[in-house]
Order: sequence, then structure tokens, then C-alpha cells
Amino acid sequence: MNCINDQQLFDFINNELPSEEHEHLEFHLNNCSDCREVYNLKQEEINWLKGSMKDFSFPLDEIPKFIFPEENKTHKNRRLTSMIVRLGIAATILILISISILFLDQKKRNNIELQRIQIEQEMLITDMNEAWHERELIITQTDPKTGKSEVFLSSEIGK
Amino acid sequence: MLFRYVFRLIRDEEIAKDICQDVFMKLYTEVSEGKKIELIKSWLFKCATNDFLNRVKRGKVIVFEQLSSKHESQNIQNPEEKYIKTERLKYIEQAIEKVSPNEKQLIYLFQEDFSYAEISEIIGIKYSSVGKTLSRAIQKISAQLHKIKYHELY
Repeated sequence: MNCINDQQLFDFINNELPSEEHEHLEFHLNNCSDCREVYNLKQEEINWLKGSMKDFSFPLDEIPKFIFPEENKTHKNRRLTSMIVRLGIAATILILISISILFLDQKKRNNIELQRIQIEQEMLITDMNEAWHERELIITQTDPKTGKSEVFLSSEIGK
Repeated sequence: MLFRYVFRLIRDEEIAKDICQDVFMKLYTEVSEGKKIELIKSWLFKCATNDFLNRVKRGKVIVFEQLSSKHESQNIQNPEEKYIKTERLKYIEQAIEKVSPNEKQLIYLFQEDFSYAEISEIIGIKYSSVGKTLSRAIQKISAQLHKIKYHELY
């Protein structure tokens, strides 16, 4: 066949060509006896094959029937389970957020306390330095009987 | 129709039943969840094809029962006609066995009257390849039938 190729003919028979091309081929087939003959043979072959394959079937009682899941019960249960799971996830996230906020707050408080201690220590060191410059000694006296301690400056001894 | 298609691909009734049940279950779930499926027929065949291919990939399908007389047309009463059709179908199925798995899928979908566009959607190949592959597959089947001199027999 020279006028129409096999693929075009196949697509034409299956009605899968664009309308313009389809009309063009239809016109050609009406006017070319060679192509018409090939077309008839090809169409017969396809129809025969398709038709014969359709003979394949099953006894009605062997065609499987769709088994519906236990109606709405299963479906509702599934929805309930999914809702519980979602709520659980939300609660866990909330708890984690609360714990992290508390932890951060505690850390902040600890930092403030640490700063306060540092400042106090610095102040104490400053007092000791001043006393040294004044050539004074800080004396700690402990009463062995009572166990009480008393702190005073060396300059205060004579007074 | 879906069962016939799946059975022809795997030739195992139990697996075919499983696949069909799974596919309809999926449809049931999707519809229950309010999802919209536009072309249900194509959607079912697409799911079944994917399910079949997944099973093949996982090595779960070993296949192939031979066709038995229970699979042939159920509506024919005349024994002679029934015999001819049974034999014809056997030859055709034997010829189809010789083409590639991809071509086989295309042939079975073509026989179920799907258009090229639907076949391309179901199998996931280009629209332009459908016609060419189909035409080639049919040529192979015809050649195979001629080789076994089927036309001289029936």
C-alpha cells in the first residue's frame, strides 16, 4: 500500500485520528480501491480479534462480589481512632512546649541569682582591698567556749 | 470486566479476586472520604494495573494457570459453536502469550474498548505511543496465528 501507511489505517479504524485527517483518509478510501481493500481486510482482522477475545468470560457465580467493610461501624471506629490519635499528638506537643517554657524560665532565674552572687563577691573583694590600703587587718575572733565569731578591723582594737 | 482483565494478566483466580477486592475497597474509601473520581472505569483499571505491577515487583505473582473450558463464552448453547469458540480463544491466548507484558496489557485494555487516551492514562505511557504499540502487538499476534496456521484450521 503506497497511499496510506499501516499506522494511519490502524488509527483510522480505531477512530483516533484528528477530525481533519480522518475526513481526508475517508475521502481517499472512497476513491482508491487498493486502499479500500487493505482497509477492509485490516478492519475485519481487528474486529475478529476483538470479538473473539470477548468470548473470554467467567461463570456468573465465579465473578467475585465486592465485600463491603462492616458498614459504618468500621468506618466510624476508624474515624474515632484517627481523631484520638490526632488529639494525642496535639496533647504531646502542648506538654513539650510547656516543659520547654518552664525550663527556660528556670534557667533565666538561675542566671539572675548567679549574677547577684558575682556582684556580692566583687563588692567583698573591693572592701578587702580598701582595708589593705588603709593598712588595716580584718580580724576574725572566735570564742572557743561559745563558738561565736566576731569580725573587726585592726584599727578598732585600741578603741 | 475488571476481573476478566486482571485474571488475564495473572491467570490466577485467587490473586485476581484479591486485587479486585483491594481496588474496590480503595474506591469505597476514597468515595467515603469525599474525594472526587472523574472517570471511575479508567480509575479502577489503573489501580488494578498498578496493584498487579506492584505484586510482580515484589515477586508475589508466579502465574499462569492454563485456560480451562469454564472461561469460555457462557451464552452459547450449541456444542459445535462452543467448541470452535473455545479452540479459537485458546489459539489467540497462546499467541498473546508471545508478546511482551506491556503489549499484553495494551491488547487487553483495547479489547475492553478503551480509547487511546484512556489506555495511556491507565498504563502511564505517552498517548502517541499507544497506537504504535497496539498496532505492532496486533501484527505480532496475527503473525503468530498465521505461523500456527490457525486460519487453515478455523
